[in-house]
Amino acid sequence: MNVEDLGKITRVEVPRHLFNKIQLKIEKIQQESFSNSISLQIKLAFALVLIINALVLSNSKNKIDSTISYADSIHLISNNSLYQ
Amino acid sequence: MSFEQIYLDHNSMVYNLALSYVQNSEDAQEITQDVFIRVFQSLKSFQNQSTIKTWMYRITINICLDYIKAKKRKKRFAFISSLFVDDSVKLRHEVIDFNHPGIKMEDKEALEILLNKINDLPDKQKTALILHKIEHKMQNEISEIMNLTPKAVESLIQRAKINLQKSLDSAKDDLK
Repeated sequence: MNVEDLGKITRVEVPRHLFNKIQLKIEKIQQESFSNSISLQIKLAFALVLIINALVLSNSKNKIDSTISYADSIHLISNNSLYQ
Repeated sequence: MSFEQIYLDHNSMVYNLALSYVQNSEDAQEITQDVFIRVFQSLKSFQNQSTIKTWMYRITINICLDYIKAKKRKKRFAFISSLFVDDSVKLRHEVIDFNHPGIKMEDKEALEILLNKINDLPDKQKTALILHKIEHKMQNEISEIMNLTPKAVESLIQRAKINLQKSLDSAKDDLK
């Protein structure tokens, strides 16, 4: 037995069903990557809506604070407790 | 060039090269699928710096070596887990490893020993030897595929032959 015995190995035909299997796998990978990108887009949209909501809320609070301070500066009662 | 055309041109090379590494038709089919999926995914980034054939060879070799490493890891895990489970489960883990459809029955025993010894060689020596002796590639082609100088390839083949002969001799001594 020596290294030259490797020459006895003959080439074989590729099984015919292999190309179909490869195509199916590729389709599956493409579908998975498509659904992954859609789920990523949905997550990003949710995150964006949350950020916008947080910004709107913090801005509206600032506005109320400035209204109260303005009312205080001109000696107006800035709440509804008129009879205290 | 379309993906289907690439498959038609190179499927035989990929499948037979994978068989040389894993000597098992099921594993070779698995590797062939992985190679063409990798090719499909990176076809757009292929920049013609090498020929498509050389590129295919490199992808196939890398996937074969990774596959063998992963299989060895699985075997080690199966061995460890078999220590803790009963024999009926152990049998299900066992696989018939040597199943090369390109080897005649009368040569099977000798070539199984020879290919097992080749599997024990370092990756570069193994690749150089397979490309030279089974794929019948010239040294300059091997140097292009392996991205080495022809001198380095020559030295790799020589070292592979010496190591293989040593390994075969020691196996013979063990039998005596």
